[in-house]
Amino acid sequence: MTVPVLELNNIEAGYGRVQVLWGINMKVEKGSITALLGSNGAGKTTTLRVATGILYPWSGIVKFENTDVTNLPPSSRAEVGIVMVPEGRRLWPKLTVYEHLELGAYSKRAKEKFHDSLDLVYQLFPRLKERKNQLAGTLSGGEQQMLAIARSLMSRPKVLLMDEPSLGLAPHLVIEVFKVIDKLRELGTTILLVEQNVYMSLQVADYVYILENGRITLEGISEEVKDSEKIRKAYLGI
Amino acid sequence: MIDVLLTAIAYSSGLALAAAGITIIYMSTGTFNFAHASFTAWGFYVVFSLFSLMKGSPYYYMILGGLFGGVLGIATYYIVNRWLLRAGADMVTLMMSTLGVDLVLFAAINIFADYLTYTYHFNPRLFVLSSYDFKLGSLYGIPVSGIVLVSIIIVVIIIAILQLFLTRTKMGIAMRATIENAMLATVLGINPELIYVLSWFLGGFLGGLGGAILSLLFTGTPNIGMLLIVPEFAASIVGGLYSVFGSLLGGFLIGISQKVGIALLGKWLGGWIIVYEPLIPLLIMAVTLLIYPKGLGGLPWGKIYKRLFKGGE
Repeated sequence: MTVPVLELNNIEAGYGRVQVLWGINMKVEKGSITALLGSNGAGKTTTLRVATGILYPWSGIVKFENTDVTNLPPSSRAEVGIVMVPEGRRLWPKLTVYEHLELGAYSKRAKEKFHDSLDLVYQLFPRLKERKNQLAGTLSGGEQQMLAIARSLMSRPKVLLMDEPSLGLAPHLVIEVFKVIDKLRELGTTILLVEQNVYMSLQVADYVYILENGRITLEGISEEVKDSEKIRKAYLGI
Repeated sequence: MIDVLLTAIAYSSGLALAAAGITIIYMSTGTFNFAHASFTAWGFYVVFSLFSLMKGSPYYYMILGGLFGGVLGIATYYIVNRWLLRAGADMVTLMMSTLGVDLVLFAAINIFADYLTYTYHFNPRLFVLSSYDFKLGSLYGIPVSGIVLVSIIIVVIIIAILQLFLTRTKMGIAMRATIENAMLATVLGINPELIYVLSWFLGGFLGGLGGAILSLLFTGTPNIGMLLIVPEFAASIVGGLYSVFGSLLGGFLIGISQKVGIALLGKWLGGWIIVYEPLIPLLIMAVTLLIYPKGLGGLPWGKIYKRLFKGGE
């Protein structure tokens, strides 16, 4: 067994007095796509917040490449390689496309490879090259999502945490986003994908966790999960 | 009237810089800095004390007045603001804490003034530096002080540097990103604390530099901050609070209407009106916000520029 890139051990977390996560255990293996699926309010975003350090857990340990990063602030986690694509295409509307990419490569580690990363990103998203001097707020919904992904790739992620990348996009754009995720896997990117779109996620993921009411109720390689009775009934409707 | 207008221009320049400082600190940390006029007052005192000790020209010490303001800004951040931001304090708490800082700085100015009096026998409670200013020449028989031109040049240089910094340097872009969405910046590896320190330094620097300019216009007293706090805040608010360039414009709107307005009113209504001068900035602020609720910075400048210079759209 190789060492997982990211590991959550027995995470309990919440807001104020409200407990949201009840003992989450997860592993993200190198070079794979791990999906964390569940409906609204299951605790998916909270899990991601713990992983990125925006929210500190009440108890439990977050490990990155076998070192404890539970108390590392978010900006330092981004520096070591835990990078998030936030939900809802969060961008800085008044910054240009190119400025986003520049800020993506903010850490020292990423700065050294700025030009390689830029080539890769422009190759993946030629649209962004055409629009590099445009303000992010003026891009279309699909382009904004691509920019959010491109920005995080500029950070040279060792694990990419994607928070509902298909949320609020038109169906053909959803397919586009999943194609990009598939391409990233081919490039060897390690991804933790958090999604409500169970059907599409099962197509691209290698390993799947199902989150319900703050607990992981099912996990397994995606072929097995796809065929399980529970998933077929609850999420796929077949 | 020309002399009034010239003074008004120099006054507006100093005001505009100080107001831009208030705006920078507010935009990045959400702190409405009531101690800002004390930064400005310290700018006065740095120029006065160094000039009195080492002679030369007051202009030599202007930049030091700015730097001292910057140091006060950094100190305010590390001693007070940082801890409150970490604890997630709300806007009112942040604002009230700077009122405390203001009292401390005000007391410090008085202590410093006493120190200068007893040690060097200066008169730091009433000083006039404008007589040490150089003359540029005269306009329709009215002598023009150097500060009028110098203050304008300083404002232009500051605008150019700010523009370059905010759009051409990584730190400047990171600063804009943190202002727009701090949490997003953080998860991408930008350390917000660094940006906060930088904003406090820049804000304090502009406050101090504004004071250094104004020290060549007004009589310096330890209370000078109290005279300036209202117009400084009015300029920043008129500018829209979310635009550095808006607050520079706001400084000119407030400064010129205050100085020219009171001179005109004095002429029409008599000298008794002069004591109501501090009311003008507040009136201008109220009227501007009634017409443009988002302030000058919120106006569609791109469109206005097109209309004016390209003959419509």
